[in-house]
Formats: sequence, structure tokens, C-alpha cells
Amino acid sequence: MSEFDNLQRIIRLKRFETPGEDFVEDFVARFRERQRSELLRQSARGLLWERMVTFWEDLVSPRMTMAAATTCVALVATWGALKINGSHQDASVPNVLAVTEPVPGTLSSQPSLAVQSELIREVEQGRQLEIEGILLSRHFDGHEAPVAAAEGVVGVSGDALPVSVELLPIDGLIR
Amino acid sequence: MEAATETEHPVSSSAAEDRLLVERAQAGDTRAFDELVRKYTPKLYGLVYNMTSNRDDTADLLQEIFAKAYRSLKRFMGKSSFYTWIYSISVNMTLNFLKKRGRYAKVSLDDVDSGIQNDPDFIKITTANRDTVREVNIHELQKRLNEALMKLSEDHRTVVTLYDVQGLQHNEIAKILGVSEGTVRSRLFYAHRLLQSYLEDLVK
Repeated sequence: MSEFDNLQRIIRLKRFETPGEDFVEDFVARFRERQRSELLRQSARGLLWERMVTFWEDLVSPRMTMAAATTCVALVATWGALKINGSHQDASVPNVLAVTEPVPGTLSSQPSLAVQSELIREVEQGRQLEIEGILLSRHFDGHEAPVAAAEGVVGVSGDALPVSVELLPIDGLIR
Repeated sequence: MEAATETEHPVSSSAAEDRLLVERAQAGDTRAFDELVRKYTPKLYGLVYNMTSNRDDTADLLQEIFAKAYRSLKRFMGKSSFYTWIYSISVNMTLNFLKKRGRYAKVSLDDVDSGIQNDPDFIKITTANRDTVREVNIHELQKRLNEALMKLSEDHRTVVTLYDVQGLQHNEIAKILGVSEGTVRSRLFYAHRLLQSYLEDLVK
């Protein structure tokens, strides 16, 4: 008997390591239990789906369902088309305003604003701006809010005032 | 070298029977799948146990293996035999498990079947080499053997388990592992050489 034969014989003795007599039946029983519970879970989902479908079918007639579905599709399509159109328009605005123009001397000392070129155009046309955002930006940059301070440069539409003006302390307020 | 020819073929001539059970199980007959579980549990237990060397891990992993097989049964087209398919699932899942478990394995050995006393291999070993093996009792032999197997890499342990313990042929192992027969032979050769060196005092 060679060393190699001996080795194989020793390895084959591993077959005698067994889990016990009842293992297989217990194992099959446990597996069956697990399998049935998985099937039941699947059945519960299927049952829920079936009930939802039935409920929907009972609620509306097939013709109404078709009409509702068509309306939904039309609404979604309209909304999508409007959104696409709107985004095209938004995209076109910066292109129009992005024309570089010389900055007038009256504005060279003004703080930098995001809508500078729009502001310049409005100034050149001698019109008042109605952009509250500009007013607030100027205020937070440390400038006092000018109410038509510079002629035709920046103004406040109507009676609107900067927010900080409204936040003055109120004397005599006792709670 | 052809140890597998001496041992009982693990699948015998039950491929046709398996096919029928698979068809019934695919049609929704859970009892048919129970039959397959009952039939393959002892074989797959041996495979998984010899790769993990832990009883609890083996039982848990076997549950996962059969659950996965049941879920995948609809996709089983019968291109290979059921036993090749279920063995492939078992080997892959066990190798994945071993990678996750890493080296922190708690070894728990199964009891040795009392039939070992009458096994010709056991008798030959304990009588032919009286000077060495007679000093080793069954449990010591089991411990030494497991320690040696656990020193092998997972790939080498897998081929040794499939070939020497489970008695599969090279071509069957190649199909299960998805490698060439040459690779199987070379892994076996290397694994045997390592085991010979680990169990030198027992095999001389």
C-alpha cells in the first residue's frame, strides 16, 4: 500500500462524519416550513393586488377607466410640453441680455449686481426699475435703500419699502 | 489515482427520476421538491460540511441553498442534470460564505458514524501500519484530518471533497466548478501533495 493510497483511504474516512440519524427528516421539515411561509407571503401580496384590481374594476366601468387614462396621458403630455417650452424661453433670456455694453459713469461706483446689464438698459431708457431683489441686494451690501435717490436709477415700486425698515423695535410692547 | 471508480457513484441512475421531480416541482408541486431535498440533503451536507467544518453553518447554508434552488427552479432548463445544477449552486454559495466568514471559523466536528469500525479503508489503515496508526484513535484521526483539510485553500479543499470524499469523477467536478478537467487534475495533485506532507506520520 503506497503513501498515496493511504492518504486517499484516510480522506475517504470523512464519509463517516455524519450529522445524526434524525437530521435529514428534521431538515426537510424545517425547509418545508420555510418554503410554505415564503409561498404564503407571496400569496398575500398576490391577494392584495387582486383585491385592488377588483376594487378598481368595481369602482369604475371600463369605458370610464379608458377615458380617465386618456385624460391622464393628455394632461401629462401637456404639462411636459409646457415645461419644455418654458425651459426654452428661460434659456433664451440670458442670450438676449448677455450683450456687453459700456457701463455708464453714474453706475461705475455702484455695487456689482447680478442683473447689471438689465439695470443698465433700464437706466439708459430712463425708466424706473421694479425689481425688489436689486433693492434688497443693495441694502445688504451696506447701502441705504434709496427711494428714488438717483434720478431714474433705482426706485421702489409703489409704497414698497426695504424689509429692514419694517423691523424697527416697537416701544411699549409689553407681553 | 482513480478513487472515484471504487466508490459508489453519487447520482446512480436517478437522472430520469430527478427530471420528473423537477418537472412536477416546476408545475408547483411542493412535495416533489421536498423529495429532491430529502434525496440531496445527505450528499450536499457532506459537501458543505467538509468545506466549512462547522455543523451549524452547514445546516444554515443548506437551507439557503435549497431555498435558492427552489426560487431558481423555473429558470432550470434541464441542459445539465439536476445534480450538477444543485452541486454548482452549493459550491458557489459555500465558497461565497467562506469568503465572508474569513479565517474566523469555529470548527465543530460531527460524530463519526459507528460504521467506520467495519469500513475496509479504516481496517486497512489501522492494520497495515500498526507502528503508526494504531496509536491514533478515531477521534484523533478525525481531528488531524480536519486540521489538514482546513489548511488547504478553498479551491483545493473543494476538489478534494468532491473527488475523494464525494466520489465524483474529474469531468463531473469540472462541470460543477466551471473549469477544465486539467485544472481539476492539477488542483487535486497539488492538494494531495500538501495533505501528504501534513499527514506524513499517518500515511507512511
